[in-house]
Amino acid sequence: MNCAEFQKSLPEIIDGAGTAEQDAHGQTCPVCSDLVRDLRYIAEQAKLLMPMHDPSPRVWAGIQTSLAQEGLVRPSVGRFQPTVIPGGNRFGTYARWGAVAALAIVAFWLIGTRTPGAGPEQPSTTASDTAGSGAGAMDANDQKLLAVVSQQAPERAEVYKRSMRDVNSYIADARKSLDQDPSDDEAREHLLQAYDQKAMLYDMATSGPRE
Amino acid sequence: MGRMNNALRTAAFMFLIAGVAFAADNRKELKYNLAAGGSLTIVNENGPVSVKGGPGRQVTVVATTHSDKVEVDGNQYGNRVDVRTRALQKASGNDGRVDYEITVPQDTSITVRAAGGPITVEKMRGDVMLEGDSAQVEVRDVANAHVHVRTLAGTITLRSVENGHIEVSSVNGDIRLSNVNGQKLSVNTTKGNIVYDGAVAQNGDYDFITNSGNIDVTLPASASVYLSARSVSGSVENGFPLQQTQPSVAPSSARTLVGTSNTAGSAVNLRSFSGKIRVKKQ
Repeated sequence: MNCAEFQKSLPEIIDGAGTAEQDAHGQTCPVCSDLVRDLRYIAEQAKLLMPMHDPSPRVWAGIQTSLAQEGLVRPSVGRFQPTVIPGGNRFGTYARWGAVAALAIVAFWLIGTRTPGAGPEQPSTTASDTAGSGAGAMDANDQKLLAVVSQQAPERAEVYKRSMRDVNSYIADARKSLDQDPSDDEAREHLLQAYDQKAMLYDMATSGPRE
Repeated sequence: MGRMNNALRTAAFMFLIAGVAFAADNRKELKYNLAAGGSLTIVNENGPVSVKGGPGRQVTVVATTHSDKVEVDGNQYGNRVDVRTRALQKASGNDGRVDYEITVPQDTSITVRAAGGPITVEKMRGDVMLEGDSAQVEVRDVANAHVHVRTLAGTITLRSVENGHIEVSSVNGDIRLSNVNGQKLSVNTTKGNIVYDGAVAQNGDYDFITNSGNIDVTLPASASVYLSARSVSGSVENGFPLQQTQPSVAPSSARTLVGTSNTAGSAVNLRSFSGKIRVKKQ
């Protein structure tokens, strides 16, 4: 089994329903095992965001009626039922949505950057042999991003490198605090905030003004 | 006589140097007309970008290049103008720099991406989206606009922003806000400090979040706020007259503050992971 085949089955593997062949590949390929580990972590954090519930049917009926009156939906369209996050404290509401987006971006980046060519048959960089150590250590994806920035705009590389370290330190601090007390909402908010900053950094690196 | 010759030689040399420098600079002026609701995008890897809102419907872009390794490319697509620096060959330092001075109709929506900056925007009434890696960003005299700024290391300064929907984010840069108000103000940074000085809009929702930076908030005594401050491992100092509504729940009483003033018309949430939070009265 190669990395491409493995990564096609990621949803099952992350749920722990992978085949023996997939498990074997995951154990021998550092890139794929890192990917699975990171995605599992993201999935765990996403679950912690908040318990979600649906408002009463009256609310949906009211929204649907309003949309129909505006001509935005036809009355025959199935009931519009997005899931919403209940109020909570005001600090968290926007941050949660932002963090969900941030986590999704990081997840897509993780999937998108781990190409099949980076399998075990090639020397690969893993989280354990990152540039630097400690809280601000960078994993293979971070290093890949920095390599791209260095190639496209060498004069900007140092700013990105420093920022990446600082954001990773933020993530590590918040994660440590949350691990110590999983009920600490403040630490959770900071963790989401830190991921949001990391997503911003990745976004700026990939959509920045490089002409 | 010898002295005079030396002086002449020096003068001639200086004149030559100035001439070479002048010849290397190339000033280009672009003009476009934008109807109401138009937009302008500027992309510049290296060099300052200054945008000023003015009367009339004309966009004027004055771009100065400092070498022939870069060029300025401007296009108009309907009610949108796009101006960007293009590298013709590898250029670094001053060779790759382009200085932009731009005037636009006040209601134009502007987007500026200038990695090195600085970026300055003033007198606008349209949306403002600014992005720079290490760029220093300054926004002043802006009203009724969505202001969205993000940097990695550059300091962000907002002054006199009225009725804005403001989102400011920087990894390492400090963020300074003075007389900035609106219904929504979201300020995030990892390592930078946040300084806010000014009144708070009625029914506003203000969030200031930093990891290791400090947060300094100075409010007028008339501010009507529900204020909540917490530093996970830093400290909170309060010098503002608040009615404290909740005793500390944190391990250290100096790390949490929740209180109201006047009718508590706006929510102000201050969060730092390890930095200091200070709330003061003007």
